Amino acid sequence: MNDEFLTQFREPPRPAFAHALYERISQEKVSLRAQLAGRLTLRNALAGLFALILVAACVYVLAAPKWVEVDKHLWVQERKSTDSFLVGSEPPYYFTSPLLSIEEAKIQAGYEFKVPTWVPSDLYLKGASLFNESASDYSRAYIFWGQGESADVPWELAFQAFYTRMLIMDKYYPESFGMYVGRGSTKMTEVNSIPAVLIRGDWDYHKVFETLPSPDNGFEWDKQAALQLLWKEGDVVYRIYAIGSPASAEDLIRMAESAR
Amino acid sequence: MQASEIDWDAIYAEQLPRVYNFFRYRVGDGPVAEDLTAITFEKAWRGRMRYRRDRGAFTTWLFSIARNVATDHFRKNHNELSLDEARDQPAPVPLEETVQRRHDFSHLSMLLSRLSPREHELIAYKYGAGLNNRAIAQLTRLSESNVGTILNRSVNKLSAAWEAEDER
Repeated sequence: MNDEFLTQFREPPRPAFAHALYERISQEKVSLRAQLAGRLTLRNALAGLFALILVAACVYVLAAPKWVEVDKHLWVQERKSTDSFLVGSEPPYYFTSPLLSIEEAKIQAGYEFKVPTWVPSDLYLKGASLFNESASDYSRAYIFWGQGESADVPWELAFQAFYTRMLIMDKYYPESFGMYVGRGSTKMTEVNSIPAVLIRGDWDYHKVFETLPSPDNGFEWDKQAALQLLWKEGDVVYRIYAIGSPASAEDLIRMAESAR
Repeated sequence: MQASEIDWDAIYAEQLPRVYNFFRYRVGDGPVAEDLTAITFEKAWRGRMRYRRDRGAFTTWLFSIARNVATDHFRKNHNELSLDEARDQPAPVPLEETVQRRHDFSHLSMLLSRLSPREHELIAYKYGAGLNNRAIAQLTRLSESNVGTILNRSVNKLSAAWEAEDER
């Protein structure tokens, strides 16, 4: 019996418990503010002001981020706006590594991932690429399809496989993978009976190029920017990301279900 | 660092698993560990204005709250077994669907309950919460070398008990 043996039984808290406790503490923050406001209004007999503060508290609660649990270890959080710290300062299709064949990408990635066998007829395969983030301990493989032969960026359609054995930890969902998305942008669906989420839009990354290195006032959600499909199979999170593409939601789901 | 400057969201993400596992190693798996974790964080939030030290000491402050919560729990429930009582406890029987790992942890929890309260507490700090000997010494007001000695003795006891159970 050694240290490794004794520490192996550590487990992350259940996501539902972590979430509920965080919510309870968050509500207590609101409650404390309301109590303080209540004393002041009672002292001054300003019931109107008290009501106003209660309304403000309700608005605060309603404005809080909404969590959508796609699967046990996969979530998205709907937010009104976000900053580059949360979503990164680069859009998903922006990268500099050279293009590889799918076979080369699989070998270099060091893990198995599925690849769609069907794509919309007006798209053709451009190649694959890899991106390793040493800070987050997960590697991403990208496969790109486009329409024209001349324009390489932006990519019309990117299929991403994130290997997530070392998972990102979030305060609500420890040992999980998640994304921050805009309010009202998500719709639950399925990929071969696996829970998936369809996301309409993306953060307005064009600001990155207008105000390098990143915008000071964060990103806003642009519902027209992209169409995304996110799901998880085994240790791999998959995302199909369509930007400037005629691909519909049905196309993305069909493409996902064709992955082998 | 003042309480108002602390990133409570980051603290929550960082410390929740540590506090939770501290209690798992103290009281075993189940809702009690979650309840005690919740009480600890609620108390920490309410008492946050009393905290006025640097970030490094924050863990010690949080675990001092966890320690008091554990003490209250055992005082109210009287379910920390004495050494003599624990010797008579049968080994836990795993449910059919219980995986081997859960069974092993259940077994370990039973053996932990046979240690003295102090030994049990130190094991939970070290292997559940991942605290180092210095932090444990600050919490328990023992010397650092004393913490190391007790931990070493406790692990040897556990190891011997584990092997003895295996041979049955």
